[in-house]
Amino acid sequence: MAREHDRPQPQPTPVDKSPTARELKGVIDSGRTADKVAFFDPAASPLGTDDEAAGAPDMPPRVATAIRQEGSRLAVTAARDRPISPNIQIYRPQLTSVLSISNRITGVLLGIGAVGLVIWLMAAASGPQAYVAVQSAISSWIGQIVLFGFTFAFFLHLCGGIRHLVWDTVHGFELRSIYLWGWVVVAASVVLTLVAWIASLIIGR
Amino acid sequence: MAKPKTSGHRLVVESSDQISRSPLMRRFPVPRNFGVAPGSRVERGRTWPTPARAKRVKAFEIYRYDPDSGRNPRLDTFLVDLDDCGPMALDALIWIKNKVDSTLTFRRSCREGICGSCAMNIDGTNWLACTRFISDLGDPAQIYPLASRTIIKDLVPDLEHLFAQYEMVEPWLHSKTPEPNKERLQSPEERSELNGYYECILCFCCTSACPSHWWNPGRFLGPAALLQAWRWLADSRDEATEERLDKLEDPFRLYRCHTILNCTRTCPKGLNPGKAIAEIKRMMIERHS
Repeated sequence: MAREHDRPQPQPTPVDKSPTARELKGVIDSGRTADKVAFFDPAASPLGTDDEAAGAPDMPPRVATAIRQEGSRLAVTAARDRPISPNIQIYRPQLTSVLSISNRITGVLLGIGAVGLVIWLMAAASGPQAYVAVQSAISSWIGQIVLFGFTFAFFLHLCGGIRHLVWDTVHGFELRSIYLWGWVVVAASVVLTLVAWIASLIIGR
Repeated sequence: MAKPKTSGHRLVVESSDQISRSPLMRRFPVPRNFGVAPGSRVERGRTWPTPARAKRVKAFEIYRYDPDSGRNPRLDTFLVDLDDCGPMALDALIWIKNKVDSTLTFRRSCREGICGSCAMNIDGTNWLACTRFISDLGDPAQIYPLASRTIIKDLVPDLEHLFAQYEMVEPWLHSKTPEPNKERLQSPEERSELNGYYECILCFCCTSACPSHWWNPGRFLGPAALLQAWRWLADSRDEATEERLDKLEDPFRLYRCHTILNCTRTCPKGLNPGKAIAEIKRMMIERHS
């Protein structure tokens, strides 16, 4: 006598036996495809609509494909490591983003520069020897270039900051104003840096 | 109809449809794979053959990603016969799909700038492919999906997260007073408060152009959702202003906006998400003072 497991097992019903678009809609609407919204799925409507309009029955293989895709959608999303499209590597620099990142960078530089300012003040407080040493470092070629850069960073950050203050009052948001005042900030920083240096050279003489 | 001149380099941009191509910097001076996960690195793809008997040909470099291949994204080069193709960037994509590679995948629907489906990164800025002239594109034209999104296939980004953020601002009318028997009326002035905000088509060009959202996509709501938040804060019929502001008062959700204004620069509908966010910030201050 044949044992229990020798008997042919009942085969799972093949999904493409004769599913209809209406059955699929029922499956989706009842939430069995793990759709997020438990509601009639309009996306399922086009399936089979043309066939019905033409008086032909739904095409089972197409419905089967749709069932497979509906059922596996969430699994696919979770399992696959999708790539992320490039951002800063390809996005074109514009005055908007360039001035924004400049404001950030100059802010960091000013933070570092403030340490230099403290060193200079401490040297001045601790006696002539230390002061002369720091002063000679500042008056060297490199010191002067760094100081010039620091001045420019200061004015760019200052002007950019004023621009941000104006924005906080919800003014100047038309694209024309954004660009116009952006360039004004750049020009004003250059002019103010030059004025400060020329003035300091004249006074310092 | 003569096409208005939109390309060329200009210092002061007056509307977002103007293209300014600075000769100084095509892209930020960062390495190509700066902060890019190994699986997201764009590799060199194939160059497809030149169309036969074409007189005027333009090269299109297009981001490709096939989820079934298990391989990295790549940059394919297609040569488009301009005499056989419509005038817009979307026409070129459709031409390629019809004539060269039918597997090229992208979203499109209305082809007239109202559905927002074909938003993509074209020559380095986000715009709708259907409203960008091929003649305004560089050579080669470079077409990527919307920046900083997970990619489903080729030029199709996954927007689920962005729509979830949109849902978070509850973009529908909240009322506490009993429902009136007729429409909730607005004066023309009250209605005009919504101008420039209700026209958003949710193409997400702005959010995907926002560096702040690139670095904090999970916690910062981004310009598109915040513009919608303001659209409902500005609505005279809405009665949930306090609750809406409570929900937005957060170091990240609202205040990660640093007024970079890439959003306003890129909006294909000429709207002003940057201004909308500033309005929210001001409203936030005013309710505390």
